[in-house]
Amino acid sequence: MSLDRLIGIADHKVLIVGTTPIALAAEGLFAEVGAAVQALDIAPAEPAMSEAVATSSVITGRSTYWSTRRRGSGPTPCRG
Amino acid sequence: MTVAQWDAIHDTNLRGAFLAIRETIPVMQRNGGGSIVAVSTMGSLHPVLRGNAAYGSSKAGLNALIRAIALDHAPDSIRANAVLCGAVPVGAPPSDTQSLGGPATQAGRLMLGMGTAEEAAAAILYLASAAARPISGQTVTPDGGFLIFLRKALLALVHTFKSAICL
Repeated sequence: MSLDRLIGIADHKVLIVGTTPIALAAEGLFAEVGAAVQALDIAPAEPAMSEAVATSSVITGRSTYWSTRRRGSGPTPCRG
Repeated sequence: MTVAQWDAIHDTNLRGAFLAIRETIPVMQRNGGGSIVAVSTMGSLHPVLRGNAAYGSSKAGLNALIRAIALDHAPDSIRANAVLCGAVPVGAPPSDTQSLGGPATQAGRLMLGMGTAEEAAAAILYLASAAARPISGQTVTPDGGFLIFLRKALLALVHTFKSAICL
C-alpha cells in the first residue's frame, strides 16, 4: 500500500470552519497533500452557515474542522 | 462572567459546530461518506486554566456532540472525531509561562513540551485521512503529555496528604 493510498487525502474536499491558528495550519497541511481546501470564518448563525456551506467552492468544497470526501476515491469507497 | 459572554462562547464553540455539521452532513451523505474533525481542548476533560468555565464546558459539549454524530451517522459512512488540543502558543513564546495558567502548564514540566498549531493540524489531517478509517467517535489529545502529568501530580498530592484527605 503506497503512502498516498494509505493517507488518501489528495482527492479530499475539505471545508474548514474557522480561521484560528490551528485551522489555518490545517488548511496549509491539507493543501500541501493535495486536497481541495477552503477555510472560512462563519458566524454561528443559521442563515450564515447554510449560505456559506451551500456556496462554498469546495462543496462545492470547504473546511475548518470538517472535511468531505468524494465517493469511490480510496481503497474503501464511501468511507472517509 | 456575564450571560452574554457565556452565550457568545457557547454560540461559537457548540452552536456553530452543530450548525456546520448539520449543513455538511447532507453533502457527505450525497457523496457516500465523509469525515468530521472537531477541534476541542484538553480543558474539556479537566480544567486547566482559571476562568475557563464557559470555554471548557462548551468544548465538553462539542465532544459529546461528536460522539453522538459518530453514532447517528455511522450508517452513512460518516466518521466524527475530535482533537483535544493542549496549550498551543500563538505568536512569540511567552516570556512568563505563569501567564499560561500557573506552574502546572510550564513547558518544562511537560513530557513532550507544548504543542504547535502545525502539530495539532497533523492530528486533524490524520483523522480525516483514510489511515484513520476505523476511527470514529473518539477524542485524540495531542497535549504533550500534559493530562497524564496532571494525573501523576494529583496522585502525588493525594499520597502526600492522604492522612488528611477523605476520598
